[in-house]
Amino acid sequence: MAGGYRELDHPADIALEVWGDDLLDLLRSATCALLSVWLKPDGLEGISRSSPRVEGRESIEVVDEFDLLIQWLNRVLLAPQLKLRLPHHVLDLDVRGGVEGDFLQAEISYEALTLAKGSSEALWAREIKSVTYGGGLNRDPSGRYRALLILDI
Amino acid sequence: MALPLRRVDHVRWELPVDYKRGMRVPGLIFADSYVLETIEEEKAYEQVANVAFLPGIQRYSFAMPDIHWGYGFPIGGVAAFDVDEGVVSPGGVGYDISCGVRLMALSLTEEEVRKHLDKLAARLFSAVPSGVGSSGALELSFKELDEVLEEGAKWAVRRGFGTREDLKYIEEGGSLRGADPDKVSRTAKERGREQMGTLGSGNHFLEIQAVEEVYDEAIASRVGLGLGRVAVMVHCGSRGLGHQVCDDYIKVMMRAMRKYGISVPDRQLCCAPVRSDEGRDYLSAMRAAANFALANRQVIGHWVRRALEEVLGQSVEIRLVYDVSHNMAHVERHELDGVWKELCVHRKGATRALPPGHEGLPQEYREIGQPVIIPGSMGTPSYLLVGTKGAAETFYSTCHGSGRVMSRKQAVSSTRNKDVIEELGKKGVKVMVKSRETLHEEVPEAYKDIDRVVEVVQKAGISRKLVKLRPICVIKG
Repeated sequence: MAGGYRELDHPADIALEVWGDDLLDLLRSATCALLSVWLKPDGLEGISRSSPRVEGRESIEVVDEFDLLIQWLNRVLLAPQLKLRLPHHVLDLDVRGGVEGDFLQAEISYEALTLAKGSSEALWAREIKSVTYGGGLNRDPSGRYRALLILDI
Repeated sequence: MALPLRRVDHVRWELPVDYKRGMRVPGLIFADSYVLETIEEEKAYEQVANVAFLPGIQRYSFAMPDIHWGYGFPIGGVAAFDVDEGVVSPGGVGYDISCGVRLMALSLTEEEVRKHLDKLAARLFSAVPSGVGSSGALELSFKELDEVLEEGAKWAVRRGFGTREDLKYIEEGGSLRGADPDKVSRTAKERGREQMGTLGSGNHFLEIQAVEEVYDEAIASRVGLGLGRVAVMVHCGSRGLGHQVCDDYIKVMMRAMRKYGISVPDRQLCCAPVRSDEGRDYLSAMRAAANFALANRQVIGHWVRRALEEVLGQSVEIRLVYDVSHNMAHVERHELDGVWKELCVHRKGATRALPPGHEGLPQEYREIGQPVIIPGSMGTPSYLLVGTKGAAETFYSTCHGSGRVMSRKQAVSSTRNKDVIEELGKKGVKVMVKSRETLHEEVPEAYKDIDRVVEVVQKAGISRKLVKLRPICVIKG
């Protein structure tokens, strides 16, 4: 993975700049970025050691690539509460459609750590309510993806 | 750089309609020189301009003096849309639907309460769940949750949390009509059903406060807030359920805009015609989420009351002064140029402030005007205002709080070596907080001077000061 991320200053919430060579790389960087500000410093390492891993799949209809990024990250946010799992790595991405103004259909496969009910509350450094559409996504002249994410806390 | 604003008077600044091509109305920002400096840094007036692009907007794109950068709409933004020609936008309500404030007045003085403060603080801290991922003492079935979404605070009273008398002093009688639980997604319900009765985290709080200044003795006494009296303020909203409703409908609206041929300068202003299926569905879901928030504050209020009685004695009288949201859209009738119109009024980080005589007020407040509760931040004052006839200008809207001036990172780094709890303790404020990170992020200096914010709305005549409240105990998640 050649992507990366960094936290930026934001007047009220959390801002993250993420980048990647392609859309899959970007999703991977963004997932790491989200977890870095959401979990306590040793949170991911701690649960990695003890939690079984599972694979999962999400199918999402989106209007564009930025919508895909936001919707994926919001599913990561909800997964611990709704599915007792924490997606931590994107395995693969398949995006189709977008012809003549149609929406895009995205399939994301991921690896997640399983969580025991009630165990995850000790993991979180803060409450993140939503990944918002406040940022944006663009591609630089070399085709690299760069996105700004604003997290509502 | 000079601000692109034209001075109307000492507290009104107009953003001209030709500031950006596509603006349908001018912007109007309520500000003094202090507030203007904060606006200049953030450029929140750009969002005021963007809101003015939306179809059917009436009169102005307003901004209250606590304006700061938001998602699409600025926080502190007010915009009203003709229901036949205009749009409704989730960004104009905010993620935390019906985030709002409840104020309760006690029949005790500060001196009497301070004797029991440590015990009271500990009892309240344990009575009201708060903090990251907090789940409450109430886990609701989906059926019960649907009842909450339809009935709001009425559900809570029916379940024994508080009394019917409370409902008179909650906006809309504690329950928004037109709420439809079927328009709320399963995911939103999953998020909400373990969060009934929880405070949350961030800038939400429970405070014990003392009345520090009184600006209208007669009215202050009538609501039980004479000088030196004690109050309890609760600031929280619709928790994960409301956030999910907003998220769900942002996606719906992004698709709807293609259908209706609407384009906006910022994706987060996504919207649909008020009378469209998408617009109606959003309003129904928003009202349901608002009912969750009203029920939430009613449950918390009941637990607060119980804790107060346990520690201070059963003879303490605790009356609900008022409970009002500052993130909401209401369909209301307003007079524009002599013609009465139905408008969808969006208030995001702004509070509805009905004037004296308004039929929407309980009988006890018809003469006075609607109480408007302005929460401060940790360690800073709060205010109780009342609505005025002068606020017809802003569709009976006023400010909601103070707004941040410092990022969370800056706040943490500038106070890292400070003992915030000790410093506030020296000022007579006892603080109990679950997260040390929150403690530093929410320091008083991270927020605008609330005295200045309130002074602007007073001078503008869109609400007037009743009492100033000073915190004596703060509980945060």
